[in-house]
Amino acid sequence: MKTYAFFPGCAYQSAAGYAESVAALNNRLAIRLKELDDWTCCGATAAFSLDEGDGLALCGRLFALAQKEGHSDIVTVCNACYTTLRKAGKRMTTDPPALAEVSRRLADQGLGLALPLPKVLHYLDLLVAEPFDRRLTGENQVEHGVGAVAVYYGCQYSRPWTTGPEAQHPTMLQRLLSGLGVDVVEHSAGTLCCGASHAVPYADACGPMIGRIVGEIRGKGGRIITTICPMCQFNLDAGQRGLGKDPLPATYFTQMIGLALGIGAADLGLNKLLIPLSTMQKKAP
Amino acid sequence: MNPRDPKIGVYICHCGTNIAPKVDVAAVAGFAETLDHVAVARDYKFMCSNPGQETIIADIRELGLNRVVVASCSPRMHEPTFRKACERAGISPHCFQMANIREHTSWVTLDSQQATIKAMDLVKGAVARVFNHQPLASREVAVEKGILVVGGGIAGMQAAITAADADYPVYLVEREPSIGGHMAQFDKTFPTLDCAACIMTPKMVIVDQHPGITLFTYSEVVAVSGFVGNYAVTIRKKPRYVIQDRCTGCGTCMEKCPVRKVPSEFNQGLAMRTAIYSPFPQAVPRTPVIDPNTCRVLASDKPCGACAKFCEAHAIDFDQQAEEIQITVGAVIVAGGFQTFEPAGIASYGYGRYPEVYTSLEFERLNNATGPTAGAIVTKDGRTPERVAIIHCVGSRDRRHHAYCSRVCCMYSMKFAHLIREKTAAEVWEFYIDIRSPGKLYEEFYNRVQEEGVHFVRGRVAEVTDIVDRPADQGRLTVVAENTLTRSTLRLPVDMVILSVGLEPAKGVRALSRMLNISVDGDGWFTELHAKLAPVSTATSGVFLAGCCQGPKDIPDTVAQASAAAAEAIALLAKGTVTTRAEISHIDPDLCSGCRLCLESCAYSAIDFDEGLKVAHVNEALCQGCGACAAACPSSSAEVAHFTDRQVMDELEAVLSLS
Amino acid sequence: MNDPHPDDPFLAHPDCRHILRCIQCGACSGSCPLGAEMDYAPRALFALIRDGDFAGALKSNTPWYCVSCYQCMDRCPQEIPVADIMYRLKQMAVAAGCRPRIHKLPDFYRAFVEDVGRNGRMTESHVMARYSLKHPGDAAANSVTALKLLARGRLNLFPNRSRDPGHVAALTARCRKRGPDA
Repeated sequence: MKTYAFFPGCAYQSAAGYAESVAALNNRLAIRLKELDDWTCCGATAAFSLDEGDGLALCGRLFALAQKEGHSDIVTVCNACYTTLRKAGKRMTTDPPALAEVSRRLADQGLGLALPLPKVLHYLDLLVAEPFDRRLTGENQVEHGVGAVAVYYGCQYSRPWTTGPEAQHPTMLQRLLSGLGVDVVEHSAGTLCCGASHAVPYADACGPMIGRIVGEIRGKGGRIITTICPMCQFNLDAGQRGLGKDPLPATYFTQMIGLALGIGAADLGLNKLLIPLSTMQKKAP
Repeated sequence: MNPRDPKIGVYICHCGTNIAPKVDVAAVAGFAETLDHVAVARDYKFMCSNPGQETIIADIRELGLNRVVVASCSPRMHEPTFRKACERAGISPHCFQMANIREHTSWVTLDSQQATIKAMDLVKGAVARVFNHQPLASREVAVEKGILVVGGGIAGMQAAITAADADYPVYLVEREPSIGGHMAQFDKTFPTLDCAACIMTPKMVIVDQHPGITLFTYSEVVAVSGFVGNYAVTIRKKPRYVIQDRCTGCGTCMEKCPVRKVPSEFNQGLAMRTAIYSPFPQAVPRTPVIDPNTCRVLASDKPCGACAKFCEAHAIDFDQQAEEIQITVGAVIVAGGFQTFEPAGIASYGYGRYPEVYTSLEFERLNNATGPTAGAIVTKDGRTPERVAIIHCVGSRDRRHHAYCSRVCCMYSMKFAHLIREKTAAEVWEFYIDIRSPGKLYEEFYNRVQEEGVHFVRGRVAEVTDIVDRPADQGRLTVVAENTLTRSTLRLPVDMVILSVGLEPAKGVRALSRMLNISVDGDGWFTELHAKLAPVSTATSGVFLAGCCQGPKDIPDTVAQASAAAAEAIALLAKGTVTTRAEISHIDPDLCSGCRLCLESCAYSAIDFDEGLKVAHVNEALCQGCGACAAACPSSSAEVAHFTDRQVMDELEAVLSLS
Repeated sequence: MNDPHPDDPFLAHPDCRHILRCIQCGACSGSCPLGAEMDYAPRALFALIRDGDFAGALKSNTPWYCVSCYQCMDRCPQEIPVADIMYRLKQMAVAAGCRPRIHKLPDFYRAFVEDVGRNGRMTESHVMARYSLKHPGDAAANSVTALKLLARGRLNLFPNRSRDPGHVAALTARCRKRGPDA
């Protein structure tokens, strides 16, 4: 039984029930995640925008920590961490001088890096693959009143890693949820950008971005949005004021899966959402 | 065998100022005179000129020269010139050698002294080599007069007609039930807006009725063997399940067939056909075929036979078998055509996701009077669009799909714009990167379409989405693009989107590459012999190319190329014989050990194995003289004439020697 | 004015060299969600760089408005890594001390890395506080949300800290040292 290295990222603890729902799923599906000891920030877009070397080094440190504990994968729960780590990994793998420089800086801290670097996975990637995908179908179906769910992946999960149709319209989470009996609606805003950290300094410019996503989901009959990234969830949870309509709750996909598996709302941290699910939507059998 | 009294003439060319004064030509001539067996050495301004050639001829006659060396440009330029001069003077053209002291010396060496030394070395090598040259003979091989044309679209038909008019029997093989190709699917053609069917059906009728053309439709070429002038071809006629000689083309079978929901290939899936069908009304031949995958009798063994019951000519035959026919021809013209790029892989354009996104070929059918809507431009739910967007460069000019430009899309896109404006009051928006209109009256067509009020936005479309900005536009599509000329982003609500898809090689045509020994390039198009100077021939003698199978092109170029291919095929066969190359391989049966390494190394299948004598034997008509067998042969029994070990080694030793 | 010299440091970066392939089709600009806010949308910025005005490019707000959504890269027919080039431009702007006219995002990123350098991990409340010193207006706009988050236990006022933040201080030394003036 494999234990995966887990990199929670800086936004995890204060997210709206992400930690609670991931813990609940780990428990129910027997997923073994071990938090990387003494993990630090991946730098996200901030470090890379200011200095490439620092950006690579922050990620290098995480790869080194994982390798020190004997892991060949790192599981993330945030799109920004996922893409930042993956981008840094690709660069260090294909550019020997970049790898050498990072290794030199890490050596000062007693850490080392070896190729191949650990593979970066999103928690979603775990759930849709062997062996966990089998634990999420068929017999696990439960009656519930969740309502029409729209999946919102955000922009940094499928891109820039996938080409072709899945880069614009991924389908794996919809299939997973449908397989659990959740009513999923299709829409065209699945990978439009939420604005990410630009929503703080450039709130006015980013407002229309949220408006377009929510408007499209609402127009296609969606009543709940479910996301795979803390930044996206936050922007949807906090950013629907000013749209002039009843806001749609924005949950984490782990919370929806939890509800579909019959796990109680209280165990999924649903009370932390700024836009609450209705009583009906939270019902467990 | 070397000449008993060798007399070599050496001529150093100045080539104006191209060789001299970089190379000290006088010094090289002087040096040449000191070499063994050299009877005379001269330098002259332009050896290839008439006076230059006359000097060589005079020396041969007066001094009794029997070998000649000219040190000048590349043999690819003037070897034929000097060989002919030798021949006119009465010695064998093969007793001649060139030394390249231009492309290989004066043009690439900076220092004059070094260039002169190099020229001297090359001359020394040429003299040593030519001493070993022998007169060589070519053979004449009789050729078949027939010409095979593979593909019955406009290219194939044109090539067939040109050749047949010249009294060359033509065998035209087409894999679809009818000839006509893609042009039969088009509505109007640019820039003249002729109706495609109107201009093409006369050609189809000529092909059908020409006494010199034997038409095989619903057939494929399955095997080709032989060599230039003598190709043995196997054609497989797929079973139509209809007896062609009896069928009157009345069409009753199609009316009675109960299977009525098969997506029509000719109509690009926008309309349905029956299991027994003729692809389009003007099909040649008119005889329908039964689709064995959807016919109840053939596919599922169910009792039906409605067509047979109602056929007054008793032409239905469910037991019909495929037929194989063997023919022999002298030349082959490949006219395999193209297919359009399949845009489902470009998620951002919404093909397959949104119903009102069409490919150009689909739109041709929509717009055509014989198409699914009898030519009305309407959406799938019957509304007339108010605004249509046409997106250029779909699948073309795109490294992820095809880096090349498909050449015809700008023109057909503008054609669509004109036709839409002619039939409806719709706004038409063309989204382009560049407008490519190079042909005759093409740019004028662009001007005309602009003046007709079509909107042109210079910006490659970023996406086609069903997310709309105003509630009133719900149900429409939004085309998102930057107008690069005004530097603003456009989010345009439209009712219909046409994707101007590019051209790519037709499926299955590549198999001909192996059958005929011709190459394809990195994009899958057949490779011509020379990009500029030999665009309709291939590296394989006797095989020619016509139309889009060689690269995307419009109808005028296709027709021109088809006639050119026919003309070249005729030129090849006109004398009734072909001359085999003189510089070909020969295998000495006394030395050959029968190991067969040469057979494996021959790319032209030009070596046979004589089972009786247990030795290998070169087919002189097929051999291209590449030398692979000679290099592979462990016993040196294979040698290429004019490139014998002795000739090459003597040249090398002379060039490399220190004196 | 023409393309930067082949030895130009900008072109030396493996991602940036691909800018020479640009056919100015506009797919990137058309795809960019914040393109309308930029001084020059990506395509126009590349035209500017190829015209020789690299200084103008570094001073523009363009790369700072890039949200790294990677739509541009999904659509560029010449496979130019547009978003990655934006990162490079940001790094070069910072190194050159260029300060775009609107500079809120560089300040936000600086607040971010300062917090990370100090604590090893980022705490949203601390980053916002640091950022608000320079841009109090944004703090005011977010105050209602902040209170709601606090009420639901989502506003961590104590810093999110790793065991030995000194390690991270070393790894963020360069992005914290450089930057636009003040």
